[in-house]
Amino acid sequence: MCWHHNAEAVTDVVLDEGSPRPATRVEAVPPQPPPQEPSTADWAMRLLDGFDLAIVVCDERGVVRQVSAEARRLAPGVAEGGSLADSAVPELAAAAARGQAAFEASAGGRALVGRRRQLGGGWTAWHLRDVTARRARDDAMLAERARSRFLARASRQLGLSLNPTRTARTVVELAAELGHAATVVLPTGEYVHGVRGATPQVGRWTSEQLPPALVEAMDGTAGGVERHHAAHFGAHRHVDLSRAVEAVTVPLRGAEAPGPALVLWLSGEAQAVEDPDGEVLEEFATRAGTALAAARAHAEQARTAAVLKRGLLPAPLPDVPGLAFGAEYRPATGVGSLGGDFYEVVPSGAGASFVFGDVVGTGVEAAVTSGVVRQALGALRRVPVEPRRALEVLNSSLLDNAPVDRRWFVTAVLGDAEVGVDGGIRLELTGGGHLSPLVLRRDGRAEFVKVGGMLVGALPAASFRTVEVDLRPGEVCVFYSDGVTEARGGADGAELFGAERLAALLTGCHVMPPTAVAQRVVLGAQEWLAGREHDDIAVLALRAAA
Amino acid sequence: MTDREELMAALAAADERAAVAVALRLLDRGVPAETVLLDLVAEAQAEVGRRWQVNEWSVAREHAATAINERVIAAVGSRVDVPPTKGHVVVSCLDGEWHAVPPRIVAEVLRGRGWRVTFLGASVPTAHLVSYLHEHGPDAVALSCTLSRSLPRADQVVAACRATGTPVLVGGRGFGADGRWAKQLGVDSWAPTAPAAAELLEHPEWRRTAQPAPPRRADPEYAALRTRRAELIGAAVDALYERFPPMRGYDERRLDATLEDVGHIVDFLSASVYVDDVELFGEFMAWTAEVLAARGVPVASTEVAMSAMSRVLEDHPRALRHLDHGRQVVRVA
Repeated sequence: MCWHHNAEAVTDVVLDEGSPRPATRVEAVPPQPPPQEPSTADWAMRLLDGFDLAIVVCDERGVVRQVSAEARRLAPGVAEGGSLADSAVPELAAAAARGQAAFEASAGGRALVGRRRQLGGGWTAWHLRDVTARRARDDAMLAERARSRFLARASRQLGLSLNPTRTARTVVELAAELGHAATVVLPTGEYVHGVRGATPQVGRWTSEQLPPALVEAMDGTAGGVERHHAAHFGAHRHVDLSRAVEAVTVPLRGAEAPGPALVLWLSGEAQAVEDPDGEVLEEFATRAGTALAAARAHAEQARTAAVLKRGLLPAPLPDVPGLAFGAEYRPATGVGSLGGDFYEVVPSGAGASFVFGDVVGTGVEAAVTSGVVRQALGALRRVPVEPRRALEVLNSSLLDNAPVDRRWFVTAVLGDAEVGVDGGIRLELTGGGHLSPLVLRRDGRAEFVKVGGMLVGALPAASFRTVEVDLRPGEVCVFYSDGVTEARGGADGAELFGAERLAALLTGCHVMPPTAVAQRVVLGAQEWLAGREHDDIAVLALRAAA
Repeated sequence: MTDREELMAALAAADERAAVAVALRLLDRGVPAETVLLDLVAEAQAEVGRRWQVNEWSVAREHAATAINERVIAAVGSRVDVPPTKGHVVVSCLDGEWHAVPPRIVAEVLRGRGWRVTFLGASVPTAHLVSYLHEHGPDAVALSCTLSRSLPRADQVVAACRATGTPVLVGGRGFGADGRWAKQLGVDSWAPTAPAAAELLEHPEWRRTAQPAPPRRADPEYAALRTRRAELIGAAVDALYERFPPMRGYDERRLDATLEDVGHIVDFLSASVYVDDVELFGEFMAWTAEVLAARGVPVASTEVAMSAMSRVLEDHPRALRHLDHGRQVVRVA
């Protein structure tokens, strides 16, 4: 039983069929005659087939000499002794004919790539690879990346504008990338419609024109994304129904219903961003809904603020024969916002009445006070009362009505301008502690007119003064607020602009139209400020027409 | 007398009625409003600027003429009756920019070509502009920059406008004769003229929604120039006292003016460093040399000021390169 012995001797070695056999066992087998050595070419073919490599070898005349099994499968028709022109893959035949070193082919849902290598002696080999699976993986990854890029870009773009129409346009432009065209419809019937890559159109549908599917998307009846035949939407003058096959409706929910809805028109062609499951559309609709709701809320507040502001901002200057006016109004917080400086010009009798003043403080509170002051003075103008008396009434009114925690201090000048027969103007100025106006004389001098009077709203026994000033034709009187003279600048940024600099700035400026005079004052102050913050700035210039 | 000479005479005399009459007469003769604005009004405005530059006219006279020329533009505009069919464009000057004639002309040309146009005026604070864009949602905003020193501001304002989604169009001499500083700032919508602006807005490739501007990389040299502005001005003024004797006899107003001029040198230098092109500072210094020469002020005084600034900025190689270029320009001037 010697083979038994032998078997025992190898027991602990042969545990795994894959293990190399011990030499002892080979030695035990009686020697066989050596098999015939395969040729190098045979070895090569066996290797290629063993590793599923697709190789076609051609000789220097282009005759196919070797074709691996995998190559036969990928490129049927290629056979030893034949030519590459016989290949069922036309791209391979073409590449061979043109002497190209590589080709790509796709047919029947499969993707094939081939590369040529020189083997020496004019022989060549083509290496073919089936890349269908890898391509599919890459495409899926790219599509996913395109989707997340699209959503990231959408978030960025949608967060920009606070204007409802512009936001709706952005929604349409972005949504059109998911289909052929897109429409955003607001509950009011207003719509923005855009075909991918074209200018969006803005319009309005009457409630009868609105397709029921859209009404349901807006009023909350429709749950979410719904697909409809485009034809069910009836005639839509912006949509080419021969191209749009499907209409997908999505509610763009912000806070409350009814809200806007989006219609995405699909054509069945490839989209800029592929969204087979509609997940991107749902996500996009959420973000678009939030952006539209925010823009709408902002627009409502802006409209309220604009209505309130209208009464507190200076009104346009009237046209008064024989007089020309110019003004600048730059609150500390920017043009168009509210401040404590105020002016008002109204035509009267033979000229105009005006008021120029400055409420101590800035911003909305000061603007509200200036509104109270202007209304009080406006009412006083309607009764026959001396300007000095008007300031006294205003003074006691401000003292009585100011809130307990703060005082309403105002400096003001009331003016009456009467145009004379020679074109000159007689100015009657009544001062309540305001800065002295400048008069630009015909010889170019700029001289201050002291008006005086006391601050309005500070003391019960305040007294006010009236002075008269004559302007000859072409002369200008300039009123300004302390935002000009107290502008800080200079070498160290701490020096006040001051009245002297203002007078120097306006010397020789009597030739300018009053709008240019007012602008020059603000320009001078702004240069002096060199970008530093400032108090409210207002300027009113009036000129006797030359 | 040609029409332009007649308009110049009216502007010189600050005679609004006569100036408006010249323009309206041309309209009555059938000359298109756009031609009147571009060939008459714009050319006259260039001449107004030149007369100030060569010291023929005082600032007051120049401003008076400019104000009247603006009235001429308004009068021509009031005769234009084209229904607005193309959309809404907001035209605005940058904060700190007072040259309103070029943007006013752009506004009227656009209006004449069927746009609804809102001109927000001179020196519009950025916050006001941005809230206007949010409130009214125009199709585009056109920004005017006539002085290169405003370029850093222009860059900020463009970014602020783009951040509202509003596409931005820019124009004005401040961007350089060929608009190269607009490109430098990454703004590709620069228009050299008012008609070019109109064409750009109607170009099929004009973007209807702006992308937000990419953030700008921090520039420590530009930051240093801004924060050390007062120090630079102080150093230059001290050097002028010492090495430019006429200054010792200046009165307070003249000193203020000198301070302002030195401030402009610093501001243009900052803008030059901001766009990273020494030519910006070079062009400004060449212009300054002409203006000073016309007023009998030795150009060498700017050399004194610039070398004082160079000593302050010795650790700032880029700023020094710009200053050196400016000094070279002044030396050959």
